[in-house]
Amino acid sequence: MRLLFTHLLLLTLFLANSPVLNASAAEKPEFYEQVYLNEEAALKLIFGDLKSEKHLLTLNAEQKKQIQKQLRRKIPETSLPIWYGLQNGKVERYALILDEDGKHFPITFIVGLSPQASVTQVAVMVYRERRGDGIKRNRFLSQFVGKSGKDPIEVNTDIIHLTGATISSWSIAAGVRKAIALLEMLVLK
Amino acid sequence: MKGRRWAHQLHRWVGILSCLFMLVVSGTALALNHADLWRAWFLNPAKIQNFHLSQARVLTADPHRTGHLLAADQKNLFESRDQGQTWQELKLFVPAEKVSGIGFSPEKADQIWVALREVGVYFSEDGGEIWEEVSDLPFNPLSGEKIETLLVGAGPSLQLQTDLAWYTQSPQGVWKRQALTSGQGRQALDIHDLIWRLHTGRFAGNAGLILYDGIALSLIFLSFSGLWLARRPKRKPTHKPTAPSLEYPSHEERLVQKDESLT
Repeated sequence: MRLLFTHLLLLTLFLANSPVLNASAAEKPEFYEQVYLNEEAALKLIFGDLKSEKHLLTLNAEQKKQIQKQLRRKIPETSLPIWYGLQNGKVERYALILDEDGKHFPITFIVGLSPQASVTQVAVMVYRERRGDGIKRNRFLSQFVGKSGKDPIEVNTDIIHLTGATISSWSIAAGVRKAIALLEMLVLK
Repeated sequence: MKGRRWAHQLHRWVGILSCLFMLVVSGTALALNHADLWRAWFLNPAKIQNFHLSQARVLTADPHRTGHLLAADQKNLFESRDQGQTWQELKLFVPAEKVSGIGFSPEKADQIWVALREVGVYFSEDGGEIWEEVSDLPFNPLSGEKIETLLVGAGPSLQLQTDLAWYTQSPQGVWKRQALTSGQGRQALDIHDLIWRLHTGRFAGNAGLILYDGIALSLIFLSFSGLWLARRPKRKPTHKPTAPSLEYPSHEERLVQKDESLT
């Protein structure tokens, strides 16, 4: 009986200190920055031993309209950096670092692409919320490898969102679509 | 003696049924918490959406074009240009799940608003080709305040009902909040949310999930081992009842032995 009482007391204390009792409708977003990769490490991950070279992609009004139509959404950027991974002067890889809105704060991640505009790797660089950071796991990100502009890259279609990180999963999928569209339109066309 | 045996049998069968129940509860809890592991089996990108008006949870008619309808079921948004005879999926850039309201501008053709109950409001000014999220909402649905209704008035101005309040936007874009008088719905939702968090272990974040996974796996193990033990036949006594017992004598036996030694 005493053991049961102790367990109940411990459970009550645990719950009192956990967010469950404070899980009101107006949950306040908490800024909780977790840096997994800096720019150098992210580029190293995508390029390996390739030599990296930074370029700037600039969108004119017509290109922006086309990209937006393709992505079915407005995009704020008019220019953004792209890195070329070179070997003997030939481009072997491309990499784009993107910020996409998560549940409350943006998620920064890198998308590695082949010269045929198919995804070689995706890695989360900075996650800024306490929950949902499971999207950094390979189990989720490996779904994007091999995807190209021919694939829908949509959650519930060919991508499975991570349980407990639905919005972050949507954001990564939207970002990967954007990276492919930008590469195809501005570099490979 | 008969009653005791009956109680033993009852206890055994209730135990077996409880084991089966525990297996279902633990298995479904694991499946819910790791849905991403099994959802892949049900993905079918080529699946054609056969939508019928009877499936519509939300339906709105375009005031500018006869026969132009927008409708949504639980998971998708659809468009018809022939009074509902044929339907095509209208895609947002996010999954159009739990659409709670669709509104056309009463003044400008092609302006559409779509409210996703737990996510936010999306706007298109070209009939649904390019969408953007309405960023100036006076609340954040992702933080838990859920959108129940969306109306588009003159201006155009939005009116949103959430589970907490009515929000009215003036044509100048200023929002006015009016709290709902009854808080019962909100409380019920809070309790539902609380129970869900307790059930899934999400009240403690990732640590809670790991803890619950461990408990669920332990319960599954206990259920299987319990069922196996219940099925196992009882061991028959290895010695004959008439054979002298090698066990330590009971108190009564020792008294008898003592009496015998005294005599």
